Amino acid sequence: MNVYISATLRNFFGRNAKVSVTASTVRGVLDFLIDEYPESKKIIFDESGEIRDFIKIYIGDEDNTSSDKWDRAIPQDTEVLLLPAIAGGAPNDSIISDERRKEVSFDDSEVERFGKHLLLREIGVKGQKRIKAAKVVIAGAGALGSAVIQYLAAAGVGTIKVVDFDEVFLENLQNQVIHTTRDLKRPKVASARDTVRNINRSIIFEAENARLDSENIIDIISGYDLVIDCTDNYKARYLINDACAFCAIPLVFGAIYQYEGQVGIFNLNGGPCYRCAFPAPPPAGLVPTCSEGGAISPLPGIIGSIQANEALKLIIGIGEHLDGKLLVVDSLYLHTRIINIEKDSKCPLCGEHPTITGVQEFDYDDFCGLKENQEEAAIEGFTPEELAKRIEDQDSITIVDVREPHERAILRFPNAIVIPIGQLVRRMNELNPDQDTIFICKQGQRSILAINTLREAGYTGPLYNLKGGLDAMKDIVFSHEGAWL
Amino acid sequence: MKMNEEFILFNEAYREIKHRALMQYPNEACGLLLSRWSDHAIEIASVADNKADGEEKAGYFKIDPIQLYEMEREIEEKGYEVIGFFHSHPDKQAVLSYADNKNMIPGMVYIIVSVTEDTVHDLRGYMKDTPEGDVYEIRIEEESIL
Repeated sequence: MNVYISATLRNFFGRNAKVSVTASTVRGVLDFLIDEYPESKKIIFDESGEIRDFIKIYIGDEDNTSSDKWDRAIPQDTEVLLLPAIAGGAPNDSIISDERRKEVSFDDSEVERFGKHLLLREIGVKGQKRIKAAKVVIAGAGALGSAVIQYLAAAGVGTIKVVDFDEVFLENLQNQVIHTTRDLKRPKVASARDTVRNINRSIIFEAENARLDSENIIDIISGYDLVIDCTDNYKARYLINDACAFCAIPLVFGAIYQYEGQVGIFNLNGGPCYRCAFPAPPPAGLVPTCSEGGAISPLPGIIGSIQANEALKLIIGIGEHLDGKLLVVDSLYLHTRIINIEKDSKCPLCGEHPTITGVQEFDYDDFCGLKENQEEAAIEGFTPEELAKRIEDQDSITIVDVREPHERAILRFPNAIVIPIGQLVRRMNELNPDQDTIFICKQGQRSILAINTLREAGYTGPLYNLKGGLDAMKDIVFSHEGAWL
Repeated sequence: MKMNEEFILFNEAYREIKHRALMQYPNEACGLLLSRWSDHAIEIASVADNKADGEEKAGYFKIDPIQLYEMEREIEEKGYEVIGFFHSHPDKQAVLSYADNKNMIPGMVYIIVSVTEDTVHDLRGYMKDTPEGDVYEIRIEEESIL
């Protein structure tokens, strides 16, 4: 039989308009074509083997694209048509309706304040009114939140809710530029509120001094137009993503690590969600968080500013944005790239057969490997005080430091032997199985990973973890060292 | 990647795209881009029916594969070749939407115009090289009258 190849697809079929095929079913036709023109496989099927949305197979005027028709016998004298489905849609509207925009008015000072927006053809008065009508939740008043909160306040977002449970610490001031030395030990949301008030007192600022969890998140984000994820851990990211999907609220995601950052938009009008891009978090302890791995000061400013820019574009309804895409910025070598995120039909949250039905039914601690009680029951640990006592008593113990060289340069642990996690199994014989061995790292997570690695490798000697890592041990002074650890 | 690739848009084709976009407003207009002499010259714009369902037409377009098949045969008889497609975005910018991107055929030229009730504001062209590849903007130059 003959197969007609549409002119639009011929590049993948040796420029042929007609191909003579020996087959008796549609499946046979497709197999033959792919065999003859291997290039055509990637145009007919996607990476998961499903037929692409834009490919249509007709026999006469009957659509036979659905795979349940592919095994029916077709007469030899019929012509099979391989055609494209040409389709597309308009870019997204503003997430703020015209009705809400029309309810907003400006006074003279606002016209002056937002003049540089009003001058832009794409924003103008209508766009600025949408910005004022918008209600945005920012999860996290840390590094990313500092940029997002300040730029959205300066841009005139009418209602800003900031959620954070933490207080301002000295170590935050390196990149959390919304807080100052005067804010030390104050709740971050209080400090953020003061900064926003100094920018524009007419903004409605809602401070939520709480840790987001599956009990409170739906109440916290319900009724808002947009959520911006400025958190620094996987548990919060999955929780926020899921809650946004259930509440049908778009999400602007951002993350930073050392010199690299990511921005993406999820859950917009049924588009892909964070789980489509990242189905599962890495094993706990494997990837250090930003607070453990560090980040260069301006990086959250760059990434947070892009998040704020994306948020404004969604609110105004202009430009191209990162819906279904992930922007990756490498600030060290100044590379950027955009990765396409496809909606996953098997996604447990937003796919065709979802298995996650509510945030309260899903165990985020278990999913993210954070069941501390279970892990700590399985792995014995010392508190910083217990370890300090054993060192003071000069017990025969081995201390293994699994931190990276640059981390040890900040804070050296005396008399510890150094074995990076990657070398542990190979260097197992350096440990004395008759002696207590204590593993240390910065926050007590990687040391758990180290112990599990050794156990899996068959090491039988007693292994202990320093609970909370060296961060928890900072305030202990050793009499014989006379120095801070 | 052919980021700075340039295509010449013939006046007649541009007029047809603008006319169709305005005529179909507030619905999306769509059609084929044809060429005979060079694969970098858009000589003719041939309109197709927007087969999206009723009210969806304002924010969506669909060309019936069978109509496309029939148009292709006619076009080829006249010695022309389909090199891409155009469509309009009523009251929206001439940027690719998620749906546009998802349905793009690698190697084809996609022209989008932004149209309001009485004016066509902007015309932009896009391509991609592989199904999963990145979309890039191409330069569309209007034919100059020499």
